[in-house]
Amino acid sequence: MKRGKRIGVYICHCGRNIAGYVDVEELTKKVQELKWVSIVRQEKYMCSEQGQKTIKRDLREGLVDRVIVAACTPTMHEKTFRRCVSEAGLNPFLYQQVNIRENCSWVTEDKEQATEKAFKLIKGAVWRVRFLEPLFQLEYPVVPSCLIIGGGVAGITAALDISEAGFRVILVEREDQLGGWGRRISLGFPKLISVREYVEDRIKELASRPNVKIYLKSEVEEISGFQGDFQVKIRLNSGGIVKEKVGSIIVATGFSPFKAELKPEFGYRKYPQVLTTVDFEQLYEEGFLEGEGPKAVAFIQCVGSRDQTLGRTYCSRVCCTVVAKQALLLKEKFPKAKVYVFYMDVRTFGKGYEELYEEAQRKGVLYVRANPGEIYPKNDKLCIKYEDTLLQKTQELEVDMVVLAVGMDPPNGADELGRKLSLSRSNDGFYLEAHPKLGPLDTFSEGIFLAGCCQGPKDLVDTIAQAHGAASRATRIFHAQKVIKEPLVAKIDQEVCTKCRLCEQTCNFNAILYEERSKRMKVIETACKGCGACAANCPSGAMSLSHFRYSQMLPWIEALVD
Amino acid sequence: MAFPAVLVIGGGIAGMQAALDVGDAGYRVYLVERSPWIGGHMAQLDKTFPTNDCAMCTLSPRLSEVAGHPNITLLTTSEVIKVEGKAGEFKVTIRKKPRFVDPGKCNACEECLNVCPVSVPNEFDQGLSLRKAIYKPYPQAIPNAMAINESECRKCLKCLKVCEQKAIDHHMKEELLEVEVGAIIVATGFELFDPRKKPEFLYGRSPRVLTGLQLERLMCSLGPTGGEIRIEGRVPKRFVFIQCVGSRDRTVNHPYCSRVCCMYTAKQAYEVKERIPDAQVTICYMDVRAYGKGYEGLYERVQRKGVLYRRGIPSEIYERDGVLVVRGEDTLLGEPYELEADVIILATGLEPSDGVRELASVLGLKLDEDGFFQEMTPLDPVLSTREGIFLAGCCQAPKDISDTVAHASGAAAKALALICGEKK
Repeated sequence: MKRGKRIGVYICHCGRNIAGYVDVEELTKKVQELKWVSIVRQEKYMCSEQGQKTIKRDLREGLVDRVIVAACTPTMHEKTFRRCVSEAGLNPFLYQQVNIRENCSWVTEDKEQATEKAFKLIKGAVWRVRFLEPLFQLEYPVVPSCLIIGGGVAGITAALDISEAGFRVILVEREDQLGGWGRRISLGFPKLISVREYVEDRIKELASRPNVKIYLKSEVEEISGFQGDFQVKIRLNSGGIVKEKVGSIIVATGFSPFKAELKPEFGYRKYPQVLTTVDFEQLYEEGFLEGEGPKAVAFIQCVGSRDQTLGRTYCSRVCCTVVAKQALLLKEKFPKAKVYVFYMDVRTFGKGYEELYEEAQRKGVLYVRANPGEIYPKNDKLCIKYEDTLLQKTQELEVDMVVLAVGMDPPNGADELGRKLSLSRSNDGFYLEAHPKLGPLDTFSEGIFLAGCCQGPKDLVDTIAQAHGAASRATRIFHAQKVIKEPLVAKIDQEVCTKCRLCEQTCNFNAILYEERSKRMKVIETACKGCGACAANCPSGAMSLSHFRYSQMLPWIEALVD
Repeated sequence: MAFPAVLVIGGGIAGMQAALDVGDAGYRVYLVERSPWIGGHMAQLDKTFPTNDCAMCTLSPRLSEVAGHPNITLLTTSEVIKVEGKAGEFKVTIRKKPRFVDPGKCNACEECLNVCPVSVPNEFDQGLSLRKAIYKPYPQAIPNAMAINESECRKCLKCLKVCEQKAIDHHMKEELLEVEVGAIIVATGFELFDPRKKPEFLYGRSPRVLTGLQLERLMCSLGPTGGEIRIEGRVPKRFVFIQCVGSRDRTVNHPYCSRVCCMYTAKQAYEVKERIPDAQVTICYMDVRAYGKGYEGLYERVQRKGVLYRRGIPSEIYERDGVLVVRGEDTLLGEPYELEADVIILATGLEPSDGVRELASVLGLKLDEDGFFQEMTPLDPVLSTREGIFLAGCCQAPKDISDTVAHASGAAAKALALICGEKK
């Protein structure tokens, strides 16, 4: 191995961000004295055109063969400087950034201490860069097809976008038809238009697309591979298995309504006059309650939501507006009926939702802020016992019908599918997104994306927005036609490896396996995330992580603690 | 054959997400932003709910990603003034106003700040600090270059003399650019409701009445007080937050819910208790709309921290012996209340951004009753009323950052399908 002998250290002032707290002159002097350092330069802004030119000139003139920039955090400018050195012909992995801003100047008040710390950090890097090796980006081809799991509104929406962009879609739905819950909603909100028609039109459109393959009454049996090249086994209704290859996956498995029986005090399935909001949709569609209709109806919100006793502390996001809509529909059909809504907070947050809530109130729907305790029969009516939290009194109300606004649970089978795809789940049981703010559609498994309620409860409008979004995320690599990956992956020294297979068990990403044919352990570089867990666990020292090998890490640490 | 490029209007978190999705797919993006820097409102936030992560730490890598993206052409100080053609074949005219600083040369050394004689209220700090006529709002701003506000500059040319990079040119002229794109994404964001329209809350008349965004600036380590909550030099102890200021309020023509105020208030109340543990914090509310993923959890944590939620929006604020008093009716207890406060924070709602009417007419789009962009069908929030133009983020209706990001990726998907679908 050729060790770097001519190290260039470039110290950035970052205006006063660094120079205001670190004595850069003193620092320069001390670094200059370090072994293997051939050049130390400083610049007000190393990232500026001028700073970058200086580095490139030194490289081109052969003055340095390793580059260290001591500046801000690598998340800010590592890419910038890697590009800079490679433009001057140096392998970008022979470059190291030292963070003397966030890690040093911004958090150290004493100038002497800050200068000393900056020096130590730079010294560590000097000790390390000598042992860095050139690495090259990994590139591999992509199968331009997307597997979509779940044929509800989210799955259909994403499938249409992807097929429209010209890529193949494999849509797997476990029911015997597409549409999911979208088919079971009568009218949407805030505009009372037919959801069923909207969904059926979309399904028709999808069926006419030649690049969409739909598997009904089918489930994903097994998934292997990695972003760009997944192998999928799909179990058909017949029991047979088909194999497909895809480049990315969208999970759109929706939700399951909360089972109202779990709140026995509300008498669901015990008293026929107790319905859920799901039942209401169906009955409304069937044109229920012809004739006189009920005289008094009560809606109860948050059944299976915001409820510690059931382990469902989250808000289900749609129920408030669903109830506003259903109460309004009921009131319009039976203007004389008294319609009550028992609520905690009315969360009509979406576009036009507050107006719908107002409309319901204007039409005479009565909102009662109360916690209903139980429901029991009384003279062929139902009696609701509740505590009015505004009047602070326990009261009773007699009604002919009760509608329970059931919340959303993660879909049946979320656990099993999550394991097959190595998806994490948040506390509430829904799939976990990669970042709560900037990565709501991505997951920690590269190439796998989320759409709709499987990520968390949401209404139709937000589901559709998210499904379009997932289509964009899942096709970026199709457009680019390749996956580019940093070469920070595990490497095995076959001569040292004892084939104990501990690494195989340690790896969370199925990136290491024992190859029967060659009788050797093998790293699947495309699947490796570079976490280094295998290297840390390897008893023989055969496993290492590129760019973070023991030979590169130990000198670094030694210099830091020296 | 569609033009293989996309125009994105607005460089906030929505516009950046859409631009990155399209750019990553390998297509040219023109990202047009009317201010001299991208980043939008998220850059002004201290933390983000429900995890209370540092906003700038999340945002700044994304800013650099946009800046360094080979497929994204960044056009700041620019506005779209004409759009001709149809879906797949738009010809767009962009007016690029002078920045008076060449971002290619300026390295933001800030020497010019020392000599500029002009001081004006700093809008980035919501008027809580002053800035110069040549300025950059925050260290991580992209492009990493100063800009001169033409109407404030006195043309003393002192900055010109200290600029080692020779980046300043007071004679820069407006330019007109023409680009051809297959699709357009509108991501023009929002403006905050001006609480002066609710004079009963004394905003603008008492320095102890702030907006939520002003408190955000006070809590931010890059803000005017370096992250210390200080009002008139003192650390306040009694905090009263008032929700729904300019939301769910027909008297100011804002009947809609602004969707984020409940949670940003909860987050701020939590942070106040973190930093000033003995502070008395009260939140006056109508309904607590903690609807999103993890939001109910934050709402619970805030209550456990000792923050008091009082149901009932106050009717007025008045001053009694030099102390601010919030008067309202507690709708749970059914009795009037009066709360003394050292500082009052108004959770102002979101409204359509300035100039949205002109932009709608340039683009041929319809607006809804509230002035946000109207959708083609109420079920699909991404499709505008014109084919080939898509909506992203708060220009369609208020939404939080995660919903904005998902929405913006959605707009990118439609734009991509349009520009590449035909060729296949």
